[in-house]
Amino acid sequence: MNRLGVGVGWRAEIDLTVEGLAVDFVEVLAENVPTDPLPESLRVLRGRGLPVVAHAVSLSLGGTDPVDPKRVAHLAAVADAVSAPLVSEHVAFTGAGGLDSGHLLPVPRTREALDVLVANVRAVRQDLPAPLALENIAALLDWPDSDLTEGQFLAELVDRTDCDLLIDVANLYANSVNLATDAARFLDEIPLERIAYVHVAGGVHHDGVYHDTHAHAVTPEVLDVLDQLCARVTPPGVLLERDDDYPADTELAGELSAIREIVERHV
Amino acid sequence: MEHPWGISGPEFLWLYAAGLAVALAWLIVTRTRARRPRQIEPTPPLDLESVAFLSGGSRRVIELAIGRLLEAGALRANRSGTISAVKGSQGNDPVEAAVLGAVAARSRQVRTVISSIRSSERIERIADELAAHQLVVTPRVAASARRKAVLGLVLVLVIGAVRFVNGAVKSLPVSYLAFELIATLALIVILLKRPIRARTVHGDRALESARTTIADGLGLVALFGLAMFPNEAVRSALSAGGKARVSSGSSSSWSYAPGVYIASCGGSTSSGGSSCGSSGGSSCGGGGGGCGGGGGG
Repeated sequence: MNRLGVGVGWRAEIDLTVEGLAVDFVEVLAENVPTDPLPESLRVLRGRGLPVVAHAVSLSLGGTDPVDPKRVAHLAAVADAVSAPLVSEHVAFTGAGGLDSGHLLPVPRTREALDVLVANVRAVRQDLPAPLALENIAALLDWPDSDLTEGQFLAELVDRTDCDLLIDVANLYANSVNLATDAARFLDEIPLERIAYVHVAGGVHHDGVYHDTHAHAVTPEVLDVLDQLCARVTPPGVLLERDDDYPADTELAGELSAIREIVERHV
Repeated sequence: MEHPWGISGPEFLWLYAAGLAVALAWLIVTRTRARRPRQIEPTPPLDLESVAFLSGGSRRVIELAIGRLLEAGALRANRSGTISAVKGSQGNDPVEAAVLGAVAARSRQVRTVISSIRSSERIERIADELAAHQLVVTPRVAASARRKAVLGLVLVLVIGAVRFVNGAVKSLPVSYLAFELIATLALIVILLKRPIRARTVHGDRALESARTTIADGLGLVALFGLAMFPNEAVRSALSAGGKARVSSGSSSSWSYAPGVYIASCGGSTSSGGSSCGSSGGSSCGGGGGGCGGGGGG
């Protein structure tokens, strides 16, 4: 697996900040990045040799509708434009029957749903210029009558599609609070060697529910899940996601240092 | 034939022209004197905000506040030329707070932020202080000098108009006089609106001396605007990014928009007060000083 190091999500609003942070790679949200021309900041970062991973949120790989070829084409174009070593998308669906929920919804963990997901992933992969990593999502609900646990479901998914994993430890933590799942068990069940990189993000507790906002500081609890993961395997990359309410450069730098320290503690 | 008032038509035309010349001399003297008040005491040392106001009016004071916030890490610039508030940051004074307030919800172009802050008590206090030291003309004094300056022209116009009516009634040739009257009226309209530069001659000297002592840092922003912001990455983002334009380093003359302490941008006929038109120079001089930052867009 390609070593990526510690990175941060590139966002146009904080492009100069990202350029100034000590990171080993960045990730772009493909849906928000034009390819012609590519934002100057990304050209600057590529010019420094920084790897840029292309991350998608709207492919709806778990949906029963065929994946929109235009969205795949755009993801591929972004990945090409930044020479992405890796692309990633969520194990989720965003809508059904032509309706878009605007959210990432969990895929029912049944054999049938897995077959659909595997078929979609295989179809999409053919049009992508880089390996695809699949990400666990944070869900506020769980479908009844699951055949598999989330860990088993992902393990089987990557086994059948030969994809990699993007493990979001904040989502893992969110599910452990909101759905009472067991993060340790999840980590036991997934093929750790298939982890391409890890997402870390901030959030907030509110009325007993954990909200994965990407607009708050990273909590110690989320860093603790990262610590558990790093105790089992050294992930090739860890990426900090921040999407709103951007704090001072020094605060972002501090969160990156905290992440780096946890990763290096277990090396 | 008996000439009206005992003056022949051609003679009156010449007299009218002479009257016009005297009225224009009065105009120049009046407008110049507004910028040459007697200075009671020597200019005190000026802080950066005062230098900013002297150099580019209220807009430059806001640019300086943006510069301070950028340098303090309370504001963040990005390559599209917009600025946004860093989470949890607070301004140290009302102008900084107004800037942060303008970009609290979403990032905005610098020029949008500047024109959204139409005025501020703090800026008015800076201006009042400068006016008290005879370094700037107040908008009230400027407006009154503008009106007073055209009085001679109005007088000449009235006399000419009476002569015109008189002549027309008697079916005498009045077409040359009509031309002179129209020209006079046009002069009055144009000169009434033409702004008086806000800096007095003492203000010019104070600014000149500030330019010789200030050589770096935010002082350059006070003198020349955000186009001279110390950090190169931020500077080029703000000046080159997108369609954004910050003032391009001009510190030529500037004047007030009608009636208020807001620096007028460009032409003398700006009606809204702070609008700079679409060309986007943000703190350029009016009243013949020429717009440093305009063009393009």
